[in-house]
Amino acid sequence: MYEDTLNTRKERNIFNRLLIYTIFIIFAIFTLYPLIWLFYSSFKPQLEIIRDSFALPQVPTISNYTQAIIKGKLNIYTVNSIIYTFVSTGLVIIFSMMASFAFAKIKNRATPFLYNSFLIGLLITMQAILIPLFIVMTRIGLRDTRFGIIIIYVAINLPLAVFLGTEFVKAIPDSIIESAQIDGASYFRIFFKIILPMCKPVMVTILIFTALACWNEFMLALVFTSSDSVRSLPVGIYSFSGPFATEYGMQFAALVIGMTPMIILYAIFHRQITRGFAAAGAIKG
Amino acid sequence: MEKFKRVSTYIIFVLPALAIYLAVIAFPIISSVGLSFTDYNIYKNQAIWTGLANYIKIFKDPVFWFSMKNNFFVIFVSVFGQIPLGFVLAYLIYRKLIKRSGFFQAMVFIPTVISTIIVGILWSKMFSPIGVVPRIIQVITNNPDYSMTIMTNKNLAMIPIGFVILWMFTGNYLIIFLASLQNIDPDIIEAAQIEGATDGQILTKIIIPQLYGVLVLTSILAIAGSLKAFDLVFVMTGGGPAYYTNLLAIYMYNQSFIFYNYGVGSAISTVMVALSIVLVILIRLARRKIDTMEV
Repeated sequence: MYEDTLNTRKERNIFNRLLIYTIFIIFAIFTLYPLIWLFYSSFKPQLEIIRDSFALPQVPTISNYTQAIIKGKLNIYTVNSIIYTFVSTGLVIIFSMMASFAFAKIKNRATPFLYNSFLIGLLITMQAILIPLFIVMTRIGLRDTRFGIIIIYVAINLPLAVFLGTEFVKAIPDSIIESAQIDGASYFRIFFKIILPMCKPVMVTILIFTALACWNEFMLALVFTSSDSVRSLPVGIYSFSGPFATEYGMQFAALVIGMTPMIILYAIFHRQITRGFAAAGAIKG
Repeated sequence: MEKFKRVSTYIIFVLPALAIYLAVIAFPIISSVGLSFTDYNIYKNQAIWTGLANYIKIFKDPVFWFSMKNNFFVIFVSVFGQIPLGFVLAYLIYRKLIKRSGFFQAMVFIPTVISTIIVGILWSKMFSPIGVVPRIIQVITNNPDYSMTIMTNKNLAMIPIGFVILWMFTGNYLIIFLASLQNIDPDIIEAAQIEGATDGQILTKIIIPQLYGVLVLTSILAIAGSLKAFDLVFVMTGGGPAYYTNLLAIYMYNQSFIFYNYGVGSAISTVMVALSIVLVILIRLARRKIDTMEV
């Protein structure tokens, strides 16, 4: 209503409009140009990159990509990242939904304490767990293993997932569960047959957040992996700046490979992502 | 029997999440504080109590204070850059002052979903001699010999970092502000318009007071996020030249995993956690404020 009445007002002059559009167009250029530049530069041979950073590729080549895979082992890192993202996200969804159901619908005196403990996890900085975790993981031989990375990723993503899940399950009316219980359904049956199907929207939100976080995570993977066979894509891409620091085309190709899945994810789920960030931003930031 | 069944089901449902959470997050946090009072050696697996020695060491270290200063710069950029910028953009979209707002919103937001390290490497390439930023400056200043040294200048290297922080995270605040603007009851604004209030009055007297809680909250979140910042600066400058762009998290990483001073590293992370606890208290207060305001 407000907007409509304002839109009909004549007082807004062309100058204001121009200014506003300029601001947004500048933002759009600032976002698009680096991404487009990166994309076409990744098809330029080394000499062209050095000679003229502006120019489009004259002789486009995919050798940067093949080099990144052969010399840079990017295929291994990509597979690792896919494993970490899929397995961690799957486990986070299952475990968080189970806990959410218990917290929201099974009465227990421990719930406030346990639930709040998870909420504190929303505010924990990763640096606070880094050293003790590093020591323990080294001692028990889980450092530099896929299993170790997955456990860590599950743990750090649980607080937000448990929070989102519990708040969602709380909103499901108790009467649905009670009538199922009268019909003789067990808690397990209620969970799998009633709660989970109703929780699809929140599970999508949890999926997006966890997948984004796992795919993009850098610091923990940097500290907890040392061999190529376990490294994730972000650590692999970072490692390019060492031995291949001057092989720009290879680095560009690696960056393109690293960001494309997330841009596709955004293109598919942009509505859910925006809504999720708005909701989670109000809690977490 | 019914109660036993209920309790056992509860345990089965909560246990997987709880066990992993306690092992990976809760337990390490507590032991981190303990480690900060020792000189833990990972090869000997031995820790000797050294009292406050690690804390004294870091407080005497100029690198610590440099890192602190840079963290405050990041906080400054976040609170006085991202938040006002995010708010202005959200307000313009909310007021429907532009068409195709979905497209522009996506343009501001997309950097948020890209990995921080990819953003960091991309922009450090943009600023490097093979990037386009020096080329653009060459064209503008008509000086083909211009070479960009800002990333290696000890006094200026934080500036491009601040720019990239704005580039990357403003979209997040845009989304938060837009959502809260859309939650404002349109009747209140309409009533004000009928009373003859101008746009400026509506903004300052109605909209901003309504968003007061969100503004406080986003500020605290921006501060908390800035305190733990690591990835972006780590890949853009590695804390260099020397330690002039170090952040607390990088300082801590170097102490622990480059110099193997795990005790010192734990002391730094404990200082960071102490700062966050202050913020948790502030968030609680802000929450209460929001709760009382939304009634």
